[in-house]
Amino acid sequence: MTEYVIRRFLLALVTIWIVLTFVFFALRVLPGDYAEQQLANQFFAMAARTDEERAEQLALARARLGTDKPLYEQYGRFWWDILRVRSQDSFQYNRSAFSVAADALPYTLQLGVMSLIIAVLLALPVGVLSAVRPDGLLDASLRTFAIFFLAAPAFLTAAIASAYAVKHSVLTIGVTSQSLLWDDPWASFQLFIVPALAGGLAVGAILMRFLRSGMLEVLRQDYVRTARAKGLAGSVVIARHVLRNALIPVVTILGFLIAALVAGNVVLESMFAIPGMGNEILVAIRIRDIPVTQTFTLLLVGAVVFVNLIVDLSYFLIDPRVTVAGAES
Amino acid sequence: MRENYWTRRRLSRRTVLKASAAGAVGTGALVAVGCGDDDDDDPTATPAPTRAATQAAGGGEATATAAPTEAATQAAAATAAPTEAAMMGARDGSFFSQYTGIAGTTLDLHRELYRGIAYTAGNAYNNLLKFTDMDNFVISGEIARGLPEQPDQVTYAFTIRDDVNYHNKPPANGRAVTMDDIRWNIERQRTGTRADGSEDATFFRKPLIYQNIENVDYIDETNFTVTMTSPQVTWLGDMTDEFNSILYPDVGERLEDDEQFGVFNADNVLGTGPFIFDEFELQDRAHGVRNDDYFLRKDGTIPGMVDELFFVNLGGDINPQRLAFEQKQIDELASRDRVVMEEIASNNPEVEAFRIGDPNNNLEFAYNYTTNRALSDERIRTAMFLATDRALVAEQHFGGLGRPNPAVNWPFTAWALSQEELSQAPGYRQPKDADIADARAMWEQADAESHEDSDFLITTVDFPQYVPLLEWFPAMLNTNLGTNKWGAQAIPVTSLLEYNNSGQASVGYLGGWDQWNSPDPRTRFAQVYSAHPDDGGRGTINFWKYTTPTMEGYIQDMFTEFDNERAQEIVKDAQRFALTDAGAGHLQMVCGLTSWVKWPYLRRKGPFFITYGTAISQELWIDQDHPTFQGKQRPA
Repeated sequence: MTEYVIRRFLLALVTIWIVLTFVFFALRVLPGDYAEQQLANQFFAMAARTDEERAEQLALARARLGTDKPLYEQYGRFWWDILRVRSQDSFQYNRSAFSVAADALPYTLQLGVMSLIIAVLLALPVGVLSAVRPDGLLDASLRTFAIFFLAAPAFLTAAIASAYAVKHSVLTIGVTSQSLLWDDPWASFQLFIVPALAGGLAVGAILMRFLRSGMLEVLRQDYVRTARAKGLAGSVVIARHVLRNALIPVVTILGFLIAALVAGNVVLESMFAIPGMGNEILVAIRIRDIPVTQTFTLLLVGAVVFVNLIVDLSYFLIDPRVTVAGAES
Repeated sequence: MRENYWTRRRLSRRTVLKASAAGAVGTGALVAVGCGDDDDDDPTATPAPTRAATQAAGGGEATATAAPTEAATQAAAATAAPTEAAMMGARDGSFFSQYTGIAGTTLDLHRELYRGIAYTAGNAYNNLLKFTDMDNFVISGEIARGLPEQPDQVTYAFTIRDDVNYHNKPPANGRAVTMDDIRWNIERQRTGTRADGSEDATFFRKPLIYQNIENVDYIDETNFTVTMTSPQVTWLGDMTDEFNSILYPDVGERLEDDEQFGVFNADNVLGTGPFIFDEFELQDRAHGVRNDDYFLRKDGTIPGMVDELFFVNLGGDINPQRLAFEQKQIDELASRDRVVMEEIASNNPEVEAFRIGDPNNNLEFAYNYTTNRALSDERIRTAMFLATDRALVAEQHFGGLGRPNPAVNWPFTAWALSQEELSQAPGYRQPKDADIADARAMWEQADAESHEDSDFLITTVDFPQYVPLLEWFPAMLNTNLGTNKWGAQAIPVTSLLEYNNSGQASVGYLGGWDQWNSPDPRTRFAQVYSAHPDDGGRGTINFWKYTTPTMEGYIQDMFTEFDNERAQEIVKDAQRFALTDAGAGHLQMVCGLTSWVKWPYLRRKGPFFITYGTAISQELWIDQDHPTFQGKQRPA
């Protein structure tokens, strides 16, 4: 088991290295850089300059940003910073990219966690109910409900919900205050609940579908029939024997969904002016803010790899029959 | 109407809406108000030539009803927005909150080009001179005591006020403005050098305002004289440029350090203006508190002001902007998203809704008149000019909120050719049949089909609002000219400068052309149509070095004509000439309107289309007794 964990951990490091190296070079292959962007923004002033003057301005800007150095030097510096748990300064903000991430991460996490809670609270009862009463009116209704939120884009749900909430003064959606839970719990709840609901319903619908199909499959197993035959209560059979075994595919998909939630929901963050990771990385990529893009990628890849590692390890807890190849359970 | 591609198959409404929604990005800074009623009654001020009362900056359109659905193309041009009456009974209190994209490169205004920075940080600064009545084209003194005396056409004798203090925060700590400060502000821009003596090409106001100065004589603590090398009629107006503020020298020099250049914080915003910033975060928010030591407040010029200013960046999505406005977290909202703005107005019958002619919301094809093999042929460029359907452009790119445009954008009502005159001009006539027949004849006469396709590959940038152009714009020209030569490509904005300077390979740039920043359009006009500076002209953004003796003659005349009405006629003649020369290197098409809504408790002048920082804070107040004031929310 320990060897397995170490092997997975090392594999995770290799994955992170490959992704970050790819991103490092991709950012430098894309047309244009931050210095050019700055000059392009000074389009009208630059138009009157000679080619030599423009080239001089560009060289100065690149030297200021450090993007004029050879690639191997930039690459070495990049990894040296990571090893020292440091980051270059953001081109646009003139402060450490880690501090930019530290500002954005709480918003993304709060939105992600709230979405996840809503998703799980929705998926568990609905998925179970739908599976234990298959093909009835309740199941049909719940499946229709799930398919609707699977099909309806989250932004549409969010737009309708927010318009309703404002029109009927149900909520005060504080887009200008952007409070976090620990700043002002009630204001923060009102800001986040609509996007969390929109994101949570979409994720919950996916989970519910997986849970339902997993449970239907388990319900047909012999050991379930045996459990019922020996007189166990229906709820005990569902909770102890069916649900637990049906959770493996759900946990797997949940791992991916958590990673996606950590990466930030660009659309929902934009719609509610939430300054999270999704919004930040979108801008950073567009304007070629390399330090922010690299740092955010590091955090996102790290989160995805870490969550998947946890998911893999959680199989041992959920189902004791799961073993590491070649080892005893 | 003639049956063609466009009458058979219009683009979907969705495409149009998407384009207009994308166009809403960053428009928060487009709405602006007039400037302070300063001391223009100063007895030492001489009546300056630029004070001639003209309707310079029109284009406003009020919609008293909740849903402004009237077709923009039929809208009246006269300004009907709130005026002086809005300031009656002004008193202190409450706060003003607005959505603004706080994007820029530096807080050194003299080296900045982002209008969002001038719009926000500008509330902490004053200029020597300011436009105080844009409608009537009135310039007044701000830090200068009235307008400068003008003993001749090249001399300006300034007197500065002796009651102007910098903000009471370090390092200025409220000290008085001295002639050394004025000298520092003028000389760094005039010479284009930093304090260490090194030249800096990013003093962007140098070619526009300071290049033509022969000498500045700093006489004593309150008087200085500027001597120009030649008459520059627009100079007083140019001096009001929103970036041409009086900065605090120590802070300016701190920002000359490359490490500090891009640092955004409240410490780097230190001026003499009505608001003192205690928070200034790039792309996030800015907050200022009223400067009770403000000289225009102490002398009674400004009767009442809000206690605080909030500028919040809500990103480019219209949804949070709408949520913020409808919940009174922001007091007003400007956007080019017609549909959403109409919905806001109809859902909230008590809000005041306007549309403003916005000269910086336009679509032009600036083409390579000189070295492109095809477009240097007068017949081909004229065919293109005639084949362009302006009504279609207004529909497709502006969702109907646009009007055909001459070389001076139509919101400059006193300077631009009238819509009536334009409607008779070749290329602008409706129905389009006659223009299309003429265009096709010229196209064939010039044997345009023999040219390479690459000579007709129009370039735009990959901004979302321009992406739809790639389809319909070349299709319009191809259909109307009976060809398939025209194409379009989108390139990253980072490559645009290189592309435009790539000589023969360059065809032209299709997109918006902004920088219409003054009620006097002459300087901007000359930047495009005058000869390139390499050839001794004023055409700093004349990429392909278009020049003709006729146009240059008009430009020389408009810059030496001190009578405004005659100057306007010269500018109109220059536009008429451009119409006969396929737009003179710019295929003018349409200029649009921006929609604007505000809560009635917000009392303010304007809006006008020109942005001036101090004008925001000086020229508005919050009527806390108004019924709609209930529920106004404070940004955290």
